[in-house]
Amino acid sequence: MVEGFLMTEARAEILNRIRMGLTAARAEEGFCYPAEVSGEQVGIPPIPQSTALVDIFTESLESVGGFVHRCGPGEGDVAIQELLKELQVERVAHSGVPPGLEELLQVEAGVSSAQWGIAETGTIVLTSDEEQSRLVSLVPPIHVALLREDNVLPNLDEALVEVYRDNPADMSRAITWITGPSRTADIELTLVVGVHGPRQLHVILEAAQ
Amino acid sequence: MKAPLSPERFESQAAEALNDTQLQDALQKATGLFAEKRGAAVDACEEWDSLREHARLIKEHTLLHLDEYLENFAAQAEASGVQVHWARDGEEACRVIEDIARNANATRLVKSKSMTTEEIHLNKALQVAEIDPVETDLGEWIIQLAGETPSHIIAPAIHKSKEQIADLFVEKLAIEPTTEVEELAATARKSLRRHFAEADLGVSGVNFAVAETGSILILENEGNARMTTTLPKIHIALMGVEKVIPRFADLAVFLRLLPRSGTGQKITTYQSILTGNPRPSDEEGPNQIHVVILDNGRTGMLAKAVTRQALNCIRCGACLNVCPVYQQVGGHAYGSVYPGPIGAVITPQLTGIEKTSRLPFASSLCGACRDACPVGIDIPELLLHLRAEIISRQSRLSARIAFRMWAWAMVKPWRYSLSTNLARAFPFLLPVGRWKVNRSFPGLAPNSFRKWWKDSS
Repeated sequence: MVEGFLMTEARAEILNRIRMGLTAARAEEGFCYPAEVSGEQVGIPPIPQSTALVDIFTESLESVGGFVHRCGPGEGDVAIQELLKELQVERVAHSGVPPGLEELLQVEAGVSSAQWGIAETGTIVLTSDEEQSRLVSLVPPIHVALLREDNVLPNLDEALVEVYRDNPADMSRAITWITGPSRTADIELTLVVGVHGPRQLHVILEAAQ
Repeated sequence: MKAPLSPERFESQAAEALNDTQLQDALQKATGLFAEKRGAAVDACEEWDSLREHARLIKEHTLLHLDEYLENFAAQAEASGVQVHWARDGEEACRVIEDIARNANATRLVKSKSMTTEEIHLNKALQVAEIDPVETDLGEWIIQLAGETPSHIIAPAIHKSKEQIADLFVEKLAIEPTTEVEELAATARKSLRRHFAEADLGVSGVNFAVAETGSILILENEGNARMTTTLPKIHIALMGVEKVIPRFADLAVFLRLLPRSGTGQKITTYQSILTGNPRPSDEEGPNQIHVVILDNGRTGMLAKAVTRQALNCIRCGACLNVCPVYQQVGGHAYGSVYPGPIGAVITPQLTGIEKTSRLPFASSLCGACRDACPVGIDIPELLLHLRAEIISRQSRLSARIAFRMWAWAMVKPWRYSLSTNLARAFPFLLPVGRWKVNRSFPGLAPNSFRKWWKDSS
């Protein structure tokens, strides 16, 4: 009970401090409200119309050390199997079958889908509503993600619109944006990949039907 | 034992840093590389100026409606199952976090990088409460093992060489000696996995909190923040009141500004967008999420436009890298949690100017920080404002008399002539003793300009 009381008290006091500060701010000489800006979209880098979104996506992701593999319509699963064979990976965890933590720590690769891609940055978007386990994209040393070409969006703005779904109550509880392998430069600013997350990120881009 | 760092001893700490050749090498390399990468990223972004201006306007708008947006954020977060806590100061925030841990019988805690937790000295408080916090960001982990504090907002261990880090790992973790950075990072990966797997509780910071949706965003490159917010059954996120932004769509602006300013990346490797407690159908994630909203002196900056702008800060660290003072003395010389130009303006406002009055003077006012700031904070203006406040509080009688005399002398030509002639005749009267400690005083010319002008014409 005491705790609850303190909580309300802290909340009320902070909000009160803010209101007092703002009252003083509005009384300051030369005060005027800034223009309403929220919701207005500015500073969106143009996406060249002449280049296909998938090519921009590929270039962006490769520039940060990710790998992109293209395949034909309906060939995604086969392409994943071939890639895993090529990488000589035997133990694999899938996002649709959430593995236990011990298993997750043992597997060599994690396979998931990606709900969207973002051409501007080479980012893939994974949502908790679709990918039961996002840890498969984080804990194993290799992450392979299947992305459909027609889910590649031009920029961050459109990706935010897609994940927002018009109503916050419908949003996935955890949305993860991934751009390349895990990296750090905390020691002498020397780039090292795979510090906590995967050393390799492979995106299988499946052509639309 | 070395005295703990303090903002009251900026000058002596700075002098020490200037004599530390290893530190000088590390700083030159790090700040140079950061500034170069930022410059390249900004140059490649044609929309940079409009993005900055837009971000500044969003921040200004939000701060002038901060009560509404914070209440909206809290209401949305609570509606989706998040427990929202409010903390007036650092001590209260630490107590809230300790209580959550105690109620859950949690003793093992992992942390992802958060300057706000540094600000409230959370680790120290947790240790007193017999909870063992483990930093999981590589840089933070290194300085935790070394018993130090961060020297940079986004690269906490840039003051250390790989040799020093290797020695530290050999001593604390009994690894084989190596100076391969890859191996040092692999050691962190291996050691910290055990901590992630066993932790009861994960503590993170917040980069952005969206009022419209109650979402929090955490940006990172390593993946440790994803682990911290996914593996333990309880997640606690600590945010300053200024982290809130109005709309989900506003994120597009800030997601373009922060990574470019911080590390020169187009986007950081991972963005975690967390909106509410996981649903019963969700297989992963914590079963309790807490957000702690911290004031700790921030609301005191709202009243004046000049001080309010400091709340625009998104903690990118760009102003540190371009600052000629930071480049020379590094973060520890400031003796405050937040170093560099932004530290010099927010520390006195967060903790009071009594013990931090040296910081606003630790600047040449060159303006590089203002040019680099992605949210348009006029740091030099704020430094001057704080200097004026400090002088008006601290000025001694002698200084007041001296300035009064100066003012008297300057308003009439004959008084001016009289005073310069006096100074020429009795140069030891000039009150420049302390000024000369680090500079040479050129002295007055043997003849005045006015006399020269008169003689020559």
